[in-house]
Amino acid sequence: MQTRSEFEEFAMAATPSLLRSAYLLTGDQQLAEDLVQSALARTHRYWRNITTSGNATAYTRKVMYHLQVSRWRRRRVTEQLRDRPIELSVPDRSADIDMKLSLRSALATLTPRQRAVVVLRYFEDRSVAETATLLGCSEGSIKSQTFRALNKLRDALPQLTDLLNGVTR
Amino acid sequence: MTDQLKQLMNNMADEVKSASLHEQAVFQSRRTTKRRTVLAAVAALTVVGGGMAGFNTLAASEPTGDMAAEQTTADARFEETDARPPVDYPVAELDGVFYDSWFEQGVSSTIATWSSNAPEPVELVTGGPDAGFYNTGVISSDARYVAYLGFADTEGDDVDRRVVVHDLVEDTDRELTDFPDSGGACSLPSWSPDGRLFVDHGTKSNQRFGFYDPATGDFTPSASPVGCQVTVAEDDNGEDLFIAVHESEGVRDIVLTTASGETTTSPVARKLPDEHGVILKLVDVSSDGRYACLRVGDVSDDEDSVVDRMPLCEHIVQIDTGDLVTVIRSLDEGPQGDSPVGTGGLWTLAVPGHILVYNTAALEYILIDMNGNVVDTVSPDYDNVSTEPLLLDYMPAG
Repeated sequence: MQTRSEFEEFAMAATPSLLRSAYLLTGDQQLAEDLVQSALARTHRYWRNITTSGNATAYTRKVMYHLQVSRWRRRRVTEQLRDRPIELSVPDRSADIDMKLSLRSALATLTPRQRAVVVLRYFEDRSVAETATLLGCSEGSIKSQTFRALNKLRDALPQLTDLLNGVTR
Repeated sequence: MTDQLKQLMNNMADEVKSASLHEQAVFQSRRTTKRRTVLAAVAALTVVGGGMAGFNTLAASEPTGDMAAEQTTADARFEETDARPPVDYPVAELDGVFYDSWFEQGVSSTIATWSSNAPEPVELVTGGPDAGFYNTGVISSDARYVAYLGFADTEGDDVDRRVVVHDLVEDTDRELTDFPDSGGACSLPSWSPDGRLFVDHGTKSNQRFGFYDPATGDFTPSASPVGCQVTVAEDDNGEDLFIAVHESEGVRDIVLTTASGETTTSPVARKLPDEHGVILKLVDVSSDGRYACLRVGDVSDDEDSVVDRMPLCEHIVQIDTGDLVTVIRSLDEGPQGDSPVGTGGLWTLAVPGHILVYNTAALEYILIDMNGNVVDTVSPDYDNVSTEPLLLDYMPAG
């Protein structure tokens, strides 16, 4: 009972932040909730080991990213948005909304691994090394995935001048 | 420089609605644990009962869908160990070819291939129910042949099975020799790294050990390796190195026999922690003979049958030093320390300097280097496969 209480406390505190990243990874409220719930369930299952040997938040976040990439590999979950044409915004008073829609569509063109790299690096501000550790691959792989992802985003979001100028951080 | 992108992503993340997920997570966790307990019981029955029936039962109980996805584990880092690659191995990816086998009991036995670029298995060869692809098949290093044990047409005193080589290019079979598993043969046929088939003819044969040329059927006697479950590797000089399990004075250890017949006992057994048990099976050896994947456990769990190749292993050891590199933990055990989670098999050391682990729940292969870093992952597409495939081997690209 004590363990469950600790877990619930942890889960309630961690969920908002996890959901934000999960939403960027999936682009869908329900998929994001499913993803976070699965990651938390895994954490709950190994709660005793995790609390004695590591950081539960980091573990859950890592599991979440791995689940997202693997889930795609296994089930070929594709978002409906992916089949939609990329919406290129026209600068007007609804430019912000257009930009949001464009970002959503642009992210949907990325592979789950590329998308995870983008979210980790440019949303969570993780370094290449941290991203590599979280995703369990080499730094070289992260760099190449970043390069490919940004190229795709450049094509889909020409209005993002930073990207057009070539971000290689 | 990425402020605009970050701002956009922040705006998008703001769209997500808050949710209370902890209760559902606990429920999901308990439901999975319950299912997993059932799986563990089935797996235990498989070990006790052995044979195809157990595999069928396990296949029928394979978790799918969300449960499978949620069990993915790729966060492998190894415990502190002195074991490190003694040579610099090239960086690898899972860009080669996987060779699966599956069978429908009483109907057929099949070998199929897939790769990361083409993850849906394509059938290479399908044999009758007696074709032993599933539990005795081994793929040659050039992927041209598969050797397996077929049933003998006639019943002889010591002749139980026949060693058959199937040419995957020509789609032809060649029966090479008898395999008297009740006549003292204690090593299944296995391929040398340079493409010869090592065969144990049994204790009554004048030329018990040797190699067959799969193309011609010619036989060349070899040195007599000490021990059973012999696997052939290649030493630093390019010579054959026979690696086997040998029991002496109640201790099972890994014994190396050179092409000239000299033997060395590895310190693996001496360094194995007592609580881990004894060496039960030598399942896989790296082509350079440096690493082995062992099945370790209580001696009462050992099986006598020679012709059922035990495909699972979990202890990765460095043969020359005896150091334990890591233990692949089962899905039921979950994360323990920094060990990888999944299963090891005949293919675990197929990539030089790396460990290939299969997560049976997530249907994902995970490539890990000898320092515990996950290098690559890949998943097959088994949507159109009706029975549980067993990976026979993995052939790295190039």
